[in-house]
Amino acid sequence: MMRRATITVVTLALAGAIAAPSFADETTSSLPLLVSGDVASECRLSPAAEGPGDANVRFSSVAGGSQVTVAMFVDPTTARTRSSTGAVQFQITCTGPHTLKVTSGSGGMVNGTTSVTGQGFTNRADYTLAAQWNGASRSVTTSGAAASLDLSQTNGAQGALTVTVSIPPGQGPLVAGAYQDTITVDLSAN
Amino acid sequence: MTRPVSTLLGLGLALASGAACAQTATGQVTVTGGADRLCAIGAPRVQAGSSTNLGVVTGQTIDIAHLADSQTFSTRATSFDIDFTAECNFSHKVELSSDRGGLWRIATGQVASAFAEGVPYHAILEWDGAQSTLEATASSVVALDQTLEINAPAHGPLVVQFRVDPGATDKGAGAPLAAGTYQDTLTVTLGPQ
Repeated sequence: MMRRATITVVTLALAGAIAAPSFADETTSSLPLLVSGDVASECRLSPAAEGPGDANVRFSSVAGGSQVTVAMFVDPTTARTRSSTGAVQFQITCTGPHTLKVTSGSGGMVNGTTSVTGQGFTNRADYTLAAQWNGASRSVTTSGAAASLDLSQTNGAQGALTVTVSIPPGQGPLVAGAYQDTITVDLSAN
Repeated sequence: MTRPVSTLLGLGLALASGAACAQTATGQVTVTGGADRLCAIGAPRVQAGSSTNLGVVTGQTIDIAHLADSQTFSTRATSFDIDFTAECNFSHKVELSSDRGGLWRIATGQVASAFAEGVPYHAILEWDGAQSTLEATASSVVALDQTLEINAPAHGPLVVQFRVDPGATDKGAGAPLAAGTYQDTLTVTLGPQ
């Protein structure tokens, strides 16, 4: 029985020797975490401010927008338009692609109180509507129908949108009265 | 561990049987066993109650609800804590690493220079009474890591505190963030020193 026991102990020692290498196995445990956040495409349009223009043009803020007034719209001796230029600026931030349109509602400076244009007189004075935004420039000369400038961008942008109205001289003679047009800036994130 | 232990039990029975048949015989048995070195990390648990601006948590993906403030378009403050049950049965180290060194926008299209595309954050690692902070400054897209050396076995909660400061961007404080998806991968690793 002693032999048997001895043999058994030797077997035990071998068993221990076989198990020993597992002590050196060092385990590493690792866990990744993905942290994610989205920024939506959004736009912000500030109220209009006065831009570069000549002395004949005055800028003012009114309820719901702003107003550009041409002080001496026509030459008092000819009833024809005088050269006038005025501009307004809007600060814009768009974090992504966006649609930007500048639209003349009437397609010119129109005297809406009369349609009488006889004797060679007219009730509309056309002008050049121009806009600059983020390196892009667009312009159109009004001709009596609503006209729009598209300054949409495929990327985000920040800066000033400048909208300029330039009235060329010599149009008319104009029927007496008030002339106006409404220019609308539409901005939306895509 | 299981296999050596069962072998020793079988041996003990054989010796007892042998001793019963002898008058004065004695035997000696050396019983040995080994514990493998082990480190383990359990599933993450986000402590929603103490969080700010935390969105949906799905497994190992953590969404920030609103990365940008809707008024300023710059970074919104975010904070949350993540708990893991962890253990290491030997002297070890714990490493917290960032794949990108900040929350960076997944590039799609060009972005004007005024816009930020990276969001800095800091992640505070707490384990076994020690603390270390990973500062992901979003100065460039680069991998970062922080390590804690622990000279003893440890068991318990491992905590990562994730913090984003309001207005923090790679273009300076308050810069607007370009639209898109921002991501980074944080990895917690327990292992040998």
